[in-house]
Amino acid sequence: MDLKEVIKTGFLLIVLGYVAYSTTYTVHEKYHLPFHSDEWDHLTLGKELTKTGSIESIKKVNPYIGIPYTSYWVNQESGFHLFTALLLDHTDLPVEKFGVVIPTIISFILALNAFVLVRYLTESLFAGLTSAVFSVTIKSNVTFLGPWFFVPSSVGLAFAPMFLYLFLRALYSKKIFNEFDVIFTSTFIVAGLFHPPSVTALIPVFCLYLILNHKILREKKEKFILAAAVGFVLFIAMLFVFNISLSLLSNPISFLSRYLVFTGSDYKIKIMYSYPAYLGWGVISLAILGVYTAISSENRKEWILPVAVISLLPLAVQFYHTGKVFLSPYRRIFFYVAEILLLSAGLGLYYLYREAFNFIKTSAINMKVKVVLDVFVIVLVFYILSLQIDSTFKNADKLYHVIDEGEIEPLYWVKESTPEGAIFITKPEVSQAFTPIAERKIVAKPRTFLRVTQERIDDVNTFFTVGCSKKKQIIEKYDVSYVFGPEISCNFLHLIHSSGGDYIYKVDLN
Amino acid sequence: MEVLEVIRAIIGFFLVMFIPGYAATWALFPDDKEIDLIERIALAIGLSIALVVLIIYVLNVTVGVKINMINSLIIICLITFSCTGIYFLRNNPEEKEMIESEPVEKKLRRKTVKKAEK
Repeated sequence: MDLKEVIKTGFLLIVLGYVAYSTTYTVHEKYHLPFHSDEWDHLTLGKELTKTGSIESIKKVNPYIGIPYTSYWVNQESGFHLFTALLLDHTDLPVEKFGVVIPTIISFILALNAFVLVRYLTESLFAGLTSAVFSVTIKSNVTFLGPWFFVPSSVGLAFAPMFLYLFLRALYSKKIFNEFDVIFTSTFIVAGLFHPPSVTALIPVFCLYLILNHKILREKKEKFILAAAVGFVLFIAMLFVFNISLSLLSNPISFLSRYLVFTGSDYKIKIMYSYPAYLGWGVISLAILGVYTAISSENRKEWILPVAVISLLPLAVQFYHTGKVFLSPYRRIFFYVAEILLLSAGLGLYYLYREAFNFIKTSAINMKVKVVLDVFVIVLVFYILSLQIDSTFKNADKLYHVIDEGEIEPLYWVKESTPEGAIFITKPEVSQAFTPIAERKIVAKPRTFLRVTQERIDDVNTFFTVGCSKKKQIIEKYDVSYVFGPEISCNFLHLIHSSGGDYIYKVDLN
Repeated sequence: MEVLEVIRAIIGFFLVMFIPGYAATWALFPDDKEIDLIERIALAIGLSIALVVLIIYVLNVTVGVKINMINSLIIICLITFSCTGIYFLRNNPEEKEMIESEPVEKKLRRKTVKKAEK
C-alpha cells in the first residue's frame, strides 16, 4: 500500500462523505429527531434489547406496554434490532440522535458501495463517482423509506450494490472457491436477518444473470452444487429463526404464497408509482443510455445493471395488474429498480462525458478552443450532479414530525425522576417516543408495526376527553401510576412537573 | 454534545462497523493483489457488521449469551485478534523467518535477482 493510494482513497472518502452529508444530514438540520414512526419502533426494540439482553424477549413482548403481543407478529428484522442495540451500547448516543447520525453513515455506505461496484464494472474512477452521487440522491419519503431514515430497508438498500459486486467477484474469480464466496455468504445471511425483502429481491437478478451467462455454470459446477447445499441449510435455519412451522413444507405452493407473495394497500387505493415522475425524465434518459451502453458492452460484468432492471421490472408490472407481487413487497421492488436506474444514470452520464471528451480530442479545432470545451464539459457534468443533489430534497417538506423537539426535556425528566416500573398514560402525540427516551411503559400508542389493541388506543383517547370519574376507571383498569399530557384538574392527580404545554401528574387514588 | 461523548461515539462506530471487518479483510486478502484500499474499506464495513451481528446472534439464540456491552466487546476483540492471527499465519512466518536468518550475501543476491526481474 503506497502513500499515493492512501491519499487518493482519503480524497475519495472525503468526497463520498460530503455527498452523504449534504444529501442526508442536512435534511435533519431543521428537525433533529427521527422522522418516521417506524424509526421510533425500531429504536424501542433496540433499546429493549440492551436491557433484556435476549433476542427471544423482544420477539415475544411488546416493549411499549410490557405485555406479550396479542396478535400474531413475527419479528423478521431482529438482526437489525441487534445491530441497533450494539450501536446504542458502544456509542452511548441518546436514541433521538440515532435517527440523525446513523442515516448519514448509511448514506455514506451506500455511496461507497455504489462507487466500488461501478468502478469495478467500468474500471473508471469517474464513472464510480458519478454513480455514487446519483445513488444517494434517491428520493426518500414516508412511503419509500430510503437513506433519510434509520430503518432496515435503508440498510438493505445501502448494501444492494455491495451484493452485486460480491456476486460478480465471486463468480469471476480464478479460483472456484474463493474469499469472496465467504464474504458474500456471511453478508447475505446477515442482510436476511436485517431485512428479508432486501435479500429475496436480489434472487431473480442473480438467477437471470446466471442464465444469460450459463457457460460459467458449467465451468464452475462444483461451486453451484455447494451453493445449493448451503442454500438448503440456510433455508432450514430460516424456518427456525422466523418460527415457521415445518408442516407448511408439505404443501410448497401454500408455503410460497404465504411467505413470498405480497399484497399491498397501494393496489386497492389505486396508487401506482411511476419511474419518470419519481426520478425525473433527465435521470430516466441518462439511465436508458447507461443501460443501453452496458448491455452492448463486451464486458459481461457490466450486464449486471441491465439484468437487475430487466429481472425486477416484471415484478413491479405484475403488481400493477394483479395487486400481488412475488418475492418482495411492491414498494421495495420499486425502490430497488429506482436505485439500479440511478446507478445506470451515473453510468450514462459518464459515457456522455467520455464521448464528449473523445469528440473534442479528435476534432480538428484550435487547441485553445479544445481546452475551453473540455472545461465546459467538466462544468456541465458538475452542474448536472449538483442539480441531481438538489432534487433529493423534493419531499423534505412533506415529512411529518412524530414529536416536537421541546417535548424531549420532560421525557428525560420522567426518566430521571420516576420509578422504573411505573406505567404512564401519555397523550398520543408523544407516546411513540416515550418508551425509547423515558424508558417507561405506557398504556397505548398510535398504530404502527408494533401494535397495541384498539381497546387500549380507544381508552387513552377517551381518557383525555372525559370527566374525572371515567378517568379514574381507566387508571384503575391499567394500574397507571402517572399521567403525561395536557393540563388536567382531578383531585387524584397531583402535578409534579410541567414544561411548555406538557404536565406530569402522579396518581394517588387513596 | 461534549468532546468526550463525540470521541466515545466515534470509537463505538469503529468497533462495531469497521475494526473487526478490517482485520477480516487482511485475513482473507493478506496482500493488495486482489483488492485495493477503497475496496478493502467497503468490504471491512460489510464484513464487520456481518461477523459481529451473526456471531452475537447465534451465540444469543443457541447458547444464551447475553447481549451487553462487555460480552459484545469480548466477541469483537476475539474476531479482531483471531483474524489478525490468521493474517500472520497466511503470511507464512516460517518462510519469513528463513529469509531473515539467511546470510547477508544471499539476501543481497535475492535483491539483485528481484531487481533484474523487474
